[in-house]
Amino acid sequence: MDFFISNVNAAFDSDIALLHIALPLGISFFTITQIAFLIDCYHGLVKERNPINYALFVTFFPHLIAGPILHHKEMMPQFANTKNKILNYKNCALGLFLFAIGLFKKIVIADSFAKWANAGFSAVEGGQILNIFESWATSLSYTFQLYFDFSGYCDMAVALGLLFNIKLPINFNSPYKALNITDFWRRWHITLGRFLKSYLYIPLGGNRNEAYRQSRFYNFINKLLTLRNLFIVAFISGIWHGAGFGFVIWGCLHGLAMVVHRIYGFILEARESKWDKDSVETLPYSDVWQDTKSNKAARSFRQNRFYKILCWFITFNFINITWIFFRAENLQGALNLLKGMFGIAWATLPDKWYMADFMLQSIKGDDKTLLSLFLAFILCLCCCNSMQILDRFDKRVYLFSFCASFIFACSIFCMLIRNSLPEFIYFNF
Amino acid sequence: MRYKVAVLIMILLQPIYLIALYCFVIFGQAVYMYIEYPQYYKQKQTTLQANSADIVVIGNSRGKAGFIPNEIKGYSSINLSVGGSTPIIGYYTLERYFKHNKPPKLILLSYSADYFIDPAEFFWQGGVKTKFLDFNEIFDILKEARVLNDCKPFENSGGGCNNIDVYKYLLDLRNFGAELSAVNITLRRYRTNLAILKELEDSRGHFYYGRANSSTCNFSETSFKDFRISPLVSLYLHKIASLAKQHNVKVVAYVMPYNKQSSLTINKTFLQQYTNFYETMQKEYGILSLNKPYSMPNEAFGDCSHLYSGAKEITRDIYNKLKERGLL
Repeated sequence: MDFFISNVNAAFDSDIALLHIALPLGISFFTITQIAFLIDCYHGLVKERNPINYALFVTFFPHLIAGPILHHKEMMPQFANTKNKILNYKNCALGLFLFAIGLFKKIVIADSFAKWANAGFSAVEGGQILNIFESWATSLSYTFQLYFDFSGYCDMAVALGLLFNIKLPINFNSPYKALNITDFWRRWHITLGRFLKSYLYIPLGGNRNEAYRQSRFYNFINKLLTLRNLFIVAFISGIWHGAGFGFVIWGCLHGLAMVVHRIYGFILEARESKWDKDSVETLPYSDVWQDTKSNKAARSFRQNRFYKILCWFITFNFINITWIFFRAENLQGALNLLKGMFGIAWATLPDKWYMADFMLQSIKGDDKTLLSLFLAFILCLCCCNSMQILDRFDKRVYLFSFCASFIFACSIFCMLIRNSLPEFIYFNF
Repeated sequence: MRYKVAVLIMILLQPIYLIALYCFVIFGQAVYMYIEYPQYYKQKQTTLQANSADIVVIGNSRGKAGFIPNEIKGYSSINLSVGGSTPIIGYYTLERYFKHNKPPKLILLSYSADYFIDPAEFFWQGGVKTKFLDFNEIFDILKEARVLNDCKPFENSGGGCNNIDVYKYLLDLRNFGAELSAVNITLRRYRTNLAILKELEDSRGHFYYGRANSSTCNFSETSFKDFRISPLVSLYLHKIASLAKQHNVKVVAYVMPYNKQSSLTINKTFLQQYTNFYETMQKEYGILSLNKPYSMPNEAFGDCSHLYSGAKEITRDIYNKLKERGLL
C-alpha cells in the first residue's frame, strides 16, 4: 500500500501520508496456502475438512515463515494419518541429517556470502561505482547467498517436518544447473511455481486457450495468449515478493525471458515439424536422406556439450543479473552495480591470488571471497543437491550420520563466533 | 536399529565437538591469533626464563618498534614491550621478571598517550585473550579498578569489572570471532606467528610493525583533545616505581616520536598536557623522563605510529641520554 501511495505522491506531487502497516511474518506464505484451499473448496475438490487438521495445515510451523508453499491435498491426509503420530527413527535420522545440511547452507555458506553481498550493495546504493571484480563478486555473492539461504531454510523446514513424520514438498532442485529460464523455474521455488501454474497460469488459459478454438488463427492466437500468460505469471511472481520497482523489473525481466524462450521453442518446433513433414512428403528419396541428416544434426547440436554450456552460461548470467534488481534497495544502486560489472571501473590485478583483498576492498573481500565463489560454483554445478543426498542416506547411514554431525558442529561453531546472524532473506516476503 | 544409532550419533557427538572447539580456542591460539599473540607469548616465556639484562624495556608497540636491543653495545638489553599494552601489563611483566631473574641496572618505560588514558583499550584483547595475565593478576587489576571507580573502560571494551566477567569473556566465542573466522586452511597465520617468534628471539624482543619507506598518515593521538591519565594506570605507575625501588633499580621513561604529518594536526592543548605529564613524572612517580613528546620526519616511520628506518637513531639517542645522565 505504501508503495502505491508513494508512487501516487510522486506522480501527482501529492502528500498522502504513508500507512506504515506492519505485516505479520510470512504473510505471503500463509495467504497463498489458504487461497489455494478456498479455490479448491469452491471447486468442490477438498475432501478433508477437519478444522483441527486445517488449523494445523495453516499453522504448521516449519513452513510458516518462508515456505515451502504447502498444498492441502498433500498435507491434510498426512495430518489425519494416525501412523504419523508414532516416533519413527528413520524419519528422525533423515530429518536430523537434512537439518544439518540446511543449517550449514544457511550459517556457513549463505551468511559468508552475505557479508560481501551486503557490503557491495550498500556501496552501490550509496552511489559508489565498484571495480569490475568487486561488482561481479557482489552480484555472484548475492546469487549464491540467496540460493543457499532459501534452500537452506527449505531443507530445515522439510527436515523438521520429517521429525514429525510429515513429508513437505521439495522446493529446490539444483536451480543453477538450469539450461534455460523455463527449466530454472521448474527447479527454483518449485512450490511457488506449482501454485502459480495451478491457480493462475491454467485459469488464464495456459497453453491451450480453448476460448478461441473455433478461430481460423487459433494456433497463432493460442501462441500469443500463451506468451501473455507466461509473462503475467512471471510478473505476478515478482510482485508477490514485495512492492517495489526492483521486484517489478525482476518480474518483467523474467517474464520477457520466458516469452523469448518460448518463442525460441516455437521456432524450433516449427522447423522440426517442417523438416519432418517435408522430408516425408515432398523431397525425393536421396534428399529425404540428406534432410533427415540435417535434422538429426540440428537435434544432436542441441544435445552437444558446447551448446549446453552456452545455454547454461546465458541462463546463469541472466539470473545473476536479474537478482541485482531483486536485491537492490534502489534502482540507482542496481544500475551502479551493472555499470561496475560491465567494466566502467577497471582494477589492477594483484601479483598473487591471496592478495585479492586489495582489489576487493570496497566489499570487505579477501582471498576467501574468490575461493568461496569457486567452491559455490562447484557445489551448485557438480554436486548432488540435498534431496539427492537424502535419497542415498540409506546406503551409508553411519558415514552420512558422522558427516551430518560434523557439518552441524561447523554451523554451531559459526553461530557461536559471529556477533550477528543475518535473518533469512525470505522472511521479508 | 541402525537409524536409532544414526540419531544417537548425530546428537551425542555434538558435545564432543563443542569440547574440541573450546580446546582449539584455548590451546590452538598460535593457529588463529593476530600478530600481537606471539609477542605476548614470547614475552611471557622470556620473563619466566633466566636473563641477565642490564636494560629492560617495557612499553607498547611503539616501544617495541623503537628500541633495538642488539644496537646497544657493551650492555645487554631486552625489549619486553608488547603491542597494545599499558603500564598495568608492564607491572606484571616486571614482577615476573624480578621473580626469575637478577635485577637489571635500569628499566626503560615507553608507552604512548592512548594507553595512559585508557587502560582497557587492549586489556581484554591482549592481557586476557592471550592468557598473558593469570587469573589472579586479572582479578587484582579488576579489584583495583573497582576500588578506584575506574570500571567504565573495562566495560566499554567488551568485558566488565567483576571476576565473573572474565569467565564470561573467555567462554563467549564471539570475542574470538574475528580471529577464528580468519583461520586459513593454508595455516598462513600459524606460519606468520612462528616467523614472528623467531624474529623476536633473534632481536631480543624488538619487532618492526609497519615496514614502509615513509608514512604520511596521522597517529592515533591526533584525535585527542586533552590528556588525563587514568587513575588505574597512575596507580600502576606508582607500583612500577615502588617495585623497582624494592630491587634498587632505576626507572626512566622515554616517549617515542610521532611523524611530521601528525605534528601538523595534533591538538595543542593535548600536546601541552602530555608534555607536562612527562615534565612532572619525576616528582609524581619518581620516574625520570629522558625526553618530551617530539616529532621526526615521516621517512623514519614504517606506518602511522611505528618507527622503522628511524629506530636505530632512536636507540642510539636513548643510549646517549642514559650515558649523559650517568644512568649506565
